[in-house]
Amino acid sequence: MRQVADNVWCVTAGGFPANSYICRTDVPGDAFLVDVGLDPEPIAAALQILNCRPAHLFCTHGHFDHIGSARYFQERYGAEVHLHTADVKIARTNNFILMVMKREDRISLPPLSLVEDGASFRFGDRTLIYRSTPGHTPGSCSLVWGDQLFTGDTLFTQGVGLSKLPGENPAQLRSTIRSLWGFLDNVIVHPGHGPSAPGMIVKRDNAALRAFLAEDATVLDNCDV
Amino acid sequence: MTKDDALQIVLRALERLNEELDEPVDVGPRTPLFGADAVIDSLSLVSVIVDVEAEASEALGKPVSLTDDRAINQPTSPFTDPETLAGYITSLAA
Repeated sequence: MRQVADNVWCVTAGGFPANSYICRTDVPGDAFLVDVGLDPEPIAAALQILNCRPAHLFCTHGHFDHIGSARYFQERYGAEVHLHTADVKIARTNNFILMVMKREDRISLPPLSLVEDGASFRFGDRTLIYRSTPGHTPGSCSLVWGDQLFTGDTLFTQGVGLSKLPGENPAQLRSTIRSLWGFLDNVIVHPGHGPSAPGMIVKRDNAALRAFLAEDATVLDNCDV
Repeated sequence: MTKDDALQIVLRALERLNEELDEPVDVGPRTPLFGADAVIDSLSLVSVIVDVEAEASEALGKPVSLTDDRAINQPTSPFTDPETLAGYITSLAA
């Protein structure tokens, strides 16, 4: 577990490692999670150390390395599990993807609370907002929590979130990143894989991202890079 | 939908995949798709299955899921080769 911002901790674990985030709210003992991969134990251990219980789990998208252990957190903590409507089918194909990847893991989806673009959740004086950012998957979202931006696999601080899995649309991902470009100046980016970083540093230093955007000159022009 | 109709859907999906491969594979009813002898990689298999799923759904006029838990829990994997996949599609259509 490592602290990546005030009241935000990151846990990276599992045989197929991805970042899970624990966000402590203003209410004592209360927290929410952003994404949970295949292995829940390190996240549960971190929650115990932080002495907080998650009432909500917000998934940035439906891939197994981001929703894999959602049922565990729903059953153990009663956490409500949120996913964008457009990623439900992706979530239901996870075991097929795991099978063809020759992995032994299988997941069991919990009942889901479906969200749309703009869905908001109030925690004390702060609000978390779902922002639809399709491209990596049809229902990929970025979550805005004040000046913290949880981007899942939409935006990495290093590299680009292309997987060639079903539902991926590189042109749409470019358009999505373009829509986020100006916003990045004022946020800390917490990706689904890799380290967190200030958005303006990502814009400046992520050469692979700039190259990806440059594949469509229109997008590049509009991003002012 | 007959089993042959379903087989043609699978074979067409493989032909479309071949157009994207540097080294095309031999396509036939017994072409190994999954397992130790598979002639395509895992991402290609995913691509083919999703393609087949879409075309089969369109042909049947109703959603057909080849990637849900029911499919992967079959005693014999539907993904072994085009013929077994066609058989599974036909069973869903019945």
